[in-house]
Amino acid sequence: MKSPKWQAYLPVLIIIFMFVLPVFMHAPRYINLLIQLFLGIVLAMGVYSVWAVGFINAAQPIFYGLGAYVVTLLMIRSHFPYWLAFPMAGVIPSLVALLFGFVGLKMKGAYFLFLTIALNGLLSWLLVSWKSLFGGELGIFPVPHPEIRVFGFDINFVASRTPYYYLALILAVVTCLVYFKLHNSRLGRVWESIGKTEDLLANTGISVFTQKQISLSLSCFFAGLAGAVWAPYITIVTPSEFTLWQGITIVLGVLVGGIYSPLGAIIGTVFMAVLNLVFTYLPKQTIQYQPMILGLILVLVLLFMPTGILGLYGRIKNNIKELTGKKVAPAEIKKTTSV
Amino acid sequence: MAQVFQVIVNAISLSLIYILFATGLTLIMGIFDVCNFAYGEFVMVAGFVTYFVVAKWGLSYIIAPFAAMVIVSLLGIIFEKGIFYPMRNRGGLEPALATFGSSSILQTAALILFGGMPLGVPEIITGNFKIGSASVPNNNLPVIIGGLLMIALLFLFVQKTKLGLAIRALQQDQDAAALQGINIASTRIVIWVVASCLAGVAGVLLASTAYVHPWMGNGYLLKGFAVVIMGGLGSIPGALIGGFVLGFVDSFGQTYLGSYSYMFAFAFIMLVLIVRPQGLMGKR
Repeated sequence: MKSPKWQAYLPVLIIIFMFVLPVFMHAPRYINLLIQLFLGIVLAMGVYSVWAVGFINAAQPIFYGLGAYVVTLLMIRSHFPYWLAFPMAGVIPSLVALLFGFVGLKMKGAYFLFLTIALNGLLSWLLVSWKSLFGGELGIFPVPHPEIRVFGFDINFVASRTPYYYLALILAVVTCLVYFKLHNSRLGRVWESIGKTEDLLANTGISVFTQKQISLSLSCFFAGLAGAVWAPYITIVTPSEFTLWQGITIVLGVLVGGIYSPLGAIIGTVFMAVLNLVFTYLPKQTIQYQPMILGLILVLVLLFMPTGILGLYGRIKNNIKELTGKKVAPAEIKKTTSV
Repeated sequence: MAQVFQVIVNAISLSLIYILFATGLTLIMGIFDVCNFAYGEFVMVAGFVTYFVVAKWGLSYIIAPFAAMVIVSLLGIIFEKGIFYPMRNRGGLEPALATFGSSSILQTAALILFGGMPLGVPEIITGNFKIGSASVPNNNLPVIIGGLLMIALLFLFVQKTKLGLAIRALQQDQDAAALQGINIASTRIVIWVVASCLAGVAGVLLASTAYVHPWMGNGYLLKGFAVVIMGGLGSIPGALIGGFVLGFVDSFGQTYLGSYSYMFAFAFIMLVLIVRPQGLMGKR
C-alpha cells in the first residue's frame, strides 16, 4: 500500500528539484549538460512516439536543426520577436514532416528508416549548399538572444545560462506531460496498437495513415521547438551539428530505456547522457572508436534485452515478488514485460 | 557528343556495380523482410580483400574475386547465425537496427586494423580508350564484363537450379516452403552466400575504380537501397531496371548538374514512390 504513494509523487519531486537546482549549482559545465539532457529528452519523446506507430525516425536531429535555423532566420531576417519565432520553429519542421510523411509513412518501417537517412542527407546538403539563406558550412553566427518580458520583468538571457536552463526544462516538462497524457489516452492506445497489429486496427475503422501523420508531425513539432531553444543558447547554428549519428544515438537511447513507455525514452536518454559523460573522461584518441561501443550496445541490447532497462526492471521486480511469495496480477506482468 | 559517349560508358559500368550490389540487397530484404544496413560493409570488406591480394601481396587480379567471395560469405553466415536467425520473429525494425549497429562495429574495426587513409588499388586494365576526343578508361571493360557475368550466373542459378527454386519458394511463402520439405535454415544460408558473393564481386570491381577506406560502403548502401525501393522489394528484374535508371541519373546528373545530382536522385526516388509505392516491379 505504501509504494504507489511515493511513486506517484516522484516525478513531481524530480521536477521541483530540477527547478531549484540552479539556485545552488552554478557550474556552467553541468548546466550545459542538463540543458542538453532536457532537449535530448524532448527529441527522444518524439522518437518514442513515432516508434510506437511502427517507424524509426533517424532524422530527428535534422528536424531539430530545422527548428534552430527557422528561429534564427526569423529573428535575424524578418526581425520576429522570439516569442513569435519560437512556435514557428515548431510549425515549419512539422509541416516538412507532414510532406515527407505522405511518401514515407506509406512504406514499411525499415524502409522508412532508410528514407529518413536519405532525408537527413538531403536536408543537410540543402543547409550546406544554399549559402545565401542558410550560410553554408559556417552556418549563422551570432544568433540573437531572446528578449522576453514576464510580469514586467526583463529576463536577461545574455548574462547567464540559467534562463535557457529554465526554458529547456519547461519545454521538456511540457513535452513529457503531453506524451504521458497521450500514452494514457485513447489516441496513445491507438498509436501503440498501430505498431503491433496495424491491419486489425485498420479494420476497426481507424485511419491508420492519419494517425501516423499526426504522430510524426507532433514529434517534429517538439523537435523544432527544442531547436529553437538550442540555437540562441549556443549562439551559432551550423549544419554539422545535426548529424545522422546523433539521430542514431537518440534511437539507441530510446531502445536502451525501453520502447514500450515514454518513461523508457527518459531513462534511455539519461543513460546515454551518462555514457557521453563517461566518454569525455576517456583519452582523446578513443573518440573515433566510440561508434564501435555504441554499435556493440545496440546489438547486445537488441539481442538480449529487447525490452530495455524498463523491461529488465519489471522482470526483476516480478522475480522478487515471486520469491517473496506475493501474488502478481497477470495484467501487471503484461504491462511491464510484454513484448 | 564525345562527352556523351564518355558519360554513357561510365553510366553503364556504374549501373552494373549498383545492380550487383542491389540484387544481393534485394534478395536479403525481399526474403527476410529486413533492411540490411551492414551490406555496405560487405563491399568494404571485399574492397580491403582486393587491396591486400592485389596491391599488398601483388597476386593476380583473378584471385581477388574468389578470395572476396569466400571471406564475405563467411561474414554473411556470421550475420545470419548471429543476428538474422535469432531475431527472425521480431519484425523488421529491430534486426534492421542491429545491422546498423554491426555496420558501425565493422567500420570501426576496419579503422582500427587498417587506418582511415584511402588506399589505392591498381586498375584491372590500365590505359585509356580513345574515340575522337572522348577518352574512356579501359578499366570499364572488365567492370562491365564482370558485372554482366555475375548477373547471368545469378539468373541461371535462381531460374535453373533446385536451390534457386527453393529460394524462389522461400520468397513467396516461407511456411508453405517448409511444408514442401525445403530446409529453411540451410536455404537461408544459401541466400546469404549468394548475396555475399554478389557484394564481394561488386566490392572488387569497385576497388578497381575507386579508393578503399572504412566508410566506402556508406554511399553505396544508400544507392543500393534507392535501387531496391525504386525497383520493388525482392524483385531481381526490378533491381536491374532500378540500377540502370539510378546509374544513368547519377552519371548524367553528376556531369551536368554537379552537386545538385544528390537532390535530383532523391527527388526522382520520391517521385517513383508517389506514383508507385510498391516500386517499379514490386507486387502489392
